[in-house]
Amino acid sequence: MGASEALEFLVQARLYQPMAPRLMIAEDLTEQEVREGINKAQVFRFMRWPLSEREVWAQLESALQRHSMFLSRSLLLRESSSQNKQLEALTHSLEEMVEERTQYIEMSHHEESEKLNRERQLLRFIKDLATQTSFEDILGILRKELRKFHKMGDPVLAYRLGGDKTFFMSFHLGHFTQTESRQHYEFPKTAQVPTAELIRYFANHFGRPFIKAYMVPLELRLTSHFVGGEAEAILCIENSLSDKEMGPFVDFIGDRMRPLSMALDRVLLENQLSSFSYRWEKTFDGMRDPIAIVDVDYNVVRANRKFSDKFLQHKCYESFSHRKLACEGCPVPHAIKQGEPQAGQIQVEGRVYQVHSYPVLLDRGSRPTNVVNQYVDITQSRELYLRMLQSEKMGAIGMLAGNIAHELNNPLTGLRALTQVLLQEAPAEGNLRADLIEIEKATARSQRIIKNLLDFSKGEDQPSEYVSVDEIVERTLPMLKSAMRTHRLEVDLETLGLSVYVEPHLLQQVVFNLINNACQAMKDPGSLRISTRAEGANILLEIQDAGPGIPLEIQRRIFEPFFTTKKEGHGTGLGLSMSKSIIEKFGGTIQFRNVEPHGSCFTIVLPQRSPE
Amino acid sequence: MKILIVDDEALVRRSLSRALKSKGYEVMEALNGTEGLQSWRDWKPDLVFLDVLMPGMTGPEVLKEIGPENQAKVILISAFSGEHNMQTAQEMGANLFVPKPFEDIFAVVKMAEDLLV
Repeated sequence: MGASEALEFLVQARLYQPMAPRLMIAEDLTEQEVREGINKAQVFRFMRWPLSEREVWAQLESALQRHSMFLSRSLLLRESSSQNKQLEALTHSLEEMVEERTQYIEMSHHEESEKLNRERQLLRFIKDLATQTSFEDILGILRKELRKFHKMGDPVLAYRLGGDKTFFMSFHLGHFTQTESRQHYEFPKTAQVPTAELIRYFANHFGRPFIKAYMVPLELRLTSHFVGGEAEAILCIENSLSDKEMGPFVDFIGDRMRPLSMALDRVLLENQLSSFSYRWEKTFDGMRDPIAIVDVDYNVVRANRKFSDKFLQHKCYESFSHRKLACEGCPVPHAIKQGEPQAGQIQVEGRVYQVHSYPVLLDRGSRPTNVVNQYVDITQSRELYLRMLQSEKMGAIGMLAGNIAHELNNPLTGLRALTQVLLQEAPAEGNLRADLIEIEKATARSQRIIKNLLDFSKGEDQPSEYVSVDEIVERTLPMLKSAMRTHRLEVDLETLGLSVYVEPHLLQQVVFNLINNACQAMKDPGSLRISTRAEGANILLEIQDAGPGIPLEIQRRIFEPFFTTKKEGHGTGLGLSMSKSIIEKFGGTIQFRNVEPHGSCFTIVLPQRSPE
Repeated sequence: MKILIVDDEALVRRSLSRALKSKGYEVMEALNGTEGLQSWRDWKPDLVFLDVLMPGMTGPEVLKEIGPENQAKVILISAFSGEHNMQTAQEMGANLFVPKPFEDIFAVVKMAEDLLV
């Protein structure tokens, strides 16, 4: 056959037996034919005809060797490829496992971080709540929290403090509002989708429909304890969640129930406490008397407004009495020492206070740690009392004077009358007559003194009279002789013909007081000057001493009732204050000034009045 | 004319007595109310000086006791003028009231003389 037919045959053979080695024997072969032989039929060996038998066998031998080599190689190949496949399968399953594992790990990681996130949110929620001090803030925080669920209404909080009132806290048009109701409906004890009745209760109160809600009871342990009753609260959250969405929401709320309860409990308690203390404060401020709680060192712990506007960091005697040392008469040390209520009198700026000190045991101990001081202003009653005493005293003196006057007037009358009879009989010239005249004068003077004493000690409400100030002074001086005896007296009276309209005995008491004070102001013998003069439509009476004068710091206070520089028991402190009120009653004024080189001068100005 | 002086104060009695005697009157003195009442009834004076406050019987009591039988003019004198004045004195039946102390005894004597005219 031809070369091309042979080649075709070999191609076909390759298809049937690819492993069999193919030999091509030809007389002549072109390069083209060789190339095709290799390419198309994969000829193992080309041989040129003719050739020896030995050559043929050798070639066949090599071909067969080759063939068996091929066969074993292909066997190996098949073996390895099957092994390969197994390996591949194994790898594949391993990869799947790894993937699965990875997925699992990734999933749990996600879950964990989700959980962590939830915990973090919860923690933040708790933290946020902890710093809030009002219902509004608490509900505001809850409202913000609820926003992550869609289809949420604003939370409504209802609570009771054991009374018959129910308070509702809600948001209306974005504003926080508080309302209350006297309607009562039992709150559920567990978190739940509320009954139709409960929903109606809320709907009735707010006057609008509540479609779907979730109610969470909140426990108020501290508040219950404080109000001594059953305080309870319930949180109502309107929503339109599907059943599927409800689960996470219930979990979410469940997580927040306790922190909410605690925050609410705390705020309620704070409110109660502050309203409680506010009530106490108002009660104390509303009281008429100053009240202060002081500790053992006189530090003011609390005080009402009447006591002082600024009492903290101060001692009671600093803020109330404006002193640097404890007040004289303060009952606090006694109250602390005895552990029993004590009372005492203190003077503050012309007012007299009866201080009642009640010891308080604030901690467990036998000694009082604090004292409650109540300051009762007894200035007026004391003044009235002392005035009454004064008036009683004057009344008693009046009685006494009346009796003495009778006892003395009888013999004096006889003495004077007999002297007058004897004077008739005595010779016109000589000592006897002169002696009798002196006796007559002395008895006359004695009678006048008694009359003055009677006038002086008259009670109140005597009729006013037109009288000259000079006459009043003249009548008074004899009663002050012993007070004035060491001092040099200068009297310069210029208004005898002029009169004022006064109750003489009262004006006399004023003059007596002022002269007496002037004498007492001069410890050493000094000069006392008493003068009257007319000035315009007024009569001026001046009483001037040469004592030390009145110190600047007490000048403002000397006309205050009970203000006295005299020792206890030596003066009531009423003299000048009474003098002032007497002179003012007569339409006059009383003033003083210090004079050079030393001394003080009191000036009384009275309007001049005459009978017509 | 007979004048009775009823007063517990010796000097008052004495001075009045001397002043009146010097004017020529017949004078009798009584130390207290009881004695005064006795002399008043027995001696029948034309004028009586009667003190108010005396131990024992007081002036007003004497006046009350003597009652309507009295013919004499009465001058009530008192050192403690507290409750008495001209009006109360006249209500009691006295003619005049003179408070002690008197400034001038001869003024009192003049009043008595005027009463007797």
